[in-house]
Amino acid sequence: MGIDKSLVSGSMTMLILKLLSEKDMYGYEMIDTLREKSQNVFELKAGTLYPILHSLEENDLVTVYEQETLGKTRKYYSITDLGKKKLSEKAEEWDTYQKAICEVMALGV
Amino acid sequence: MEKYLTTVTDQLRCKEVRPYVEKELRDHIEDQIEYNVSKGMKQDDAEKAAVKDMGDPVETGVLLDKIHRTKMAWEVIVFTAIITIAAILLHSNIWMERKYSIEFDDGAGAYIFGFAIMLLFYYIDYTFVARFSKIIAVFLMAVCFYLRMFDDNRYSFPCPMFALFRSVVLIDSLMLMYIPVFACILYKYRNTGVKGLIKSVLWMVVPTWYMLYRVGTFGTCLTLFFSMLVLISMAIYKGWFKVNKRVSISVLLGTFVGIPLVSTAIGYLTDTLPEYKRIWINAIFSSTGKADTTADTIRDLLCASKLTGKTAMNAAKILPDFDSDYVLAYISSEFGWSVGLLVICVVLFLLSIMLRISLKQKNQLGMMIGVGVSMVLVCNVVLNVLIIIGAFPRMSTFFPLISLSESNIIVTYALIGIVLSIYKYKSIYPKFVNATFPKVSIEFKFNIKEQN
Repeated sequence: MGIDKSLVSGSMTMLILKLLSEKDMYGYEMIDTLREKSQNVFELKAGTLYPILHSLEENDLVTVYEQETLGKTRKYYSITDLGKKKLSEKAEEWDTYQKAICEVMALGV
Repeated sequence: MEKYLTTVTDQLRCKEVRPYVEKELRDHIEDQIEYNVSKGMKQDDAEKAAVKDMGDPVETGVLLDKIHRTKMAWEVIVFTAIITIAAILLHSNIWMERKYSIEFDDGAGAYIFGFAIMLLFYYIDYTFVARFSKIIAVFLMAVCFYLRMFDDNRYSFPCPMFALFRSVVLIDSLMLMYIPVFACILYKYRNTGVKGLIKSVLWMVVPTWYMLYRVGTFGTCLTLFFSMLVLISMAIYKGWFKVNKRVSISVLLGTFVGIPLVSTAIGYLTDTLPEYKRIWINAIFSSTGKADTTADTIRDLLCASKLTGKTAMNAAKILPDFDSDYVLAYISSEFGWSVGLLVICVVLFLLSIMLRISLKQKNQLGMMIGVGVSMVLVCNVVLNVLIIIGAFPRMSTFFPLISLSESNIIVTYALIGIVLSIYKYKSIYPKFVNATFPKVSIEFKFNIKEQN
């Protein structure tokens, strides 16, 4: 199903932080997992992902380390305590927002 | 793929970040190609599809450029400028009060020259310098050794340029520049295990020994040694040497702090210590400083100083080095102890900003250099204040930026410039950078013509 891009972009930071709160991942793995978990709804472009990841790193929400996996040195991203705090704030914001949307959409039904 | 990567990296104005961004994106594209091929695509089609999946290269490059830009530590610059102006006003006041009878020109020149040096260091890429750290360390020690050779007879310098250089540059100040170089050497020994740790300790011991037994400046020796000990302990704690952290730090501190302290204590209790050491220890524990005329004068000045305003005593007349080593005592006596305290707080605040900037560095080399640089200045502030209040024996120290000593002023600005350079590349360099010595390969081409 095609989804309006503006709906997704606002919550992308939250989704990436959520993925990283499960386990440390490298860029390609994140896109793959997001696609799989959203049942192909979120087709995140790598060109969008990396600026978000670099910005998260700049704001100390994630840290980076290198590790060899399957003979290749990969750059893994790991969520920080500050990132976890930010995630819970974002999740709370999202919860309020989606409840409000649902209530408005339920009007007159 | 190459066209995509070039287009992205072309958008990045900071050239230093380009290779790191390119590598990450290249890895991603290669993973995608591998996946596409595994799904039955041909290599060319798989590459085209992978590049298409990446999105618009210009958009990505512009977004990354917004994040990876060089930065300026304005806080450090503003506080340095405030302290500089205050120091120049203080020394020009001394100059005028003494009816222009002392040479202030050299001091004022040092502030201007120092500021220029700070900017020069800001423009130097510390990761590049790190590659030559061992050469710089040896060169630094060689210069100090050479200068020391002519110390007893300054007029025997082989050329006037050296004589001029020696008259301005103090070995003590020059050796403080060893600390950032030592941080680079530690970084080079990462992942080399116990061998690397032992080599690092040697790089710490040699200059300390040289300063203590050859140059004989205990203050600089203490500053160097303490700063390097902190750096090595930090490197061990951060797992740079991959050795048992608790054991290694205990052995290090036990050897270089515990054993000397215990042996000194035993020597003191059994009356086997040399007389000068005994006086020093008495001075530390009696909180009166080494019992000499200068220490007594400093104590008298501090006791007489008011909350604000001048005392009846003429500090400039009775206190030697009143504008350099003991400038804090002079300030307290001339303007009140609250002003002296304010000066200490402002300088410590500047140093705390520098330390915070360094500790928050993502790049580990920058972090280590920054901590080392901050430690050097913090050590000097602490030693200088302890000596002034009489809690430590007198020895040559300086209060950063305020003490009028050309050499120390210039070195302090250079050290601040290094922290500015570290902050500049805050968003550019990753956690670890390559600091190995560049390999130079020379190819000889011979054209052998066939001879008929």
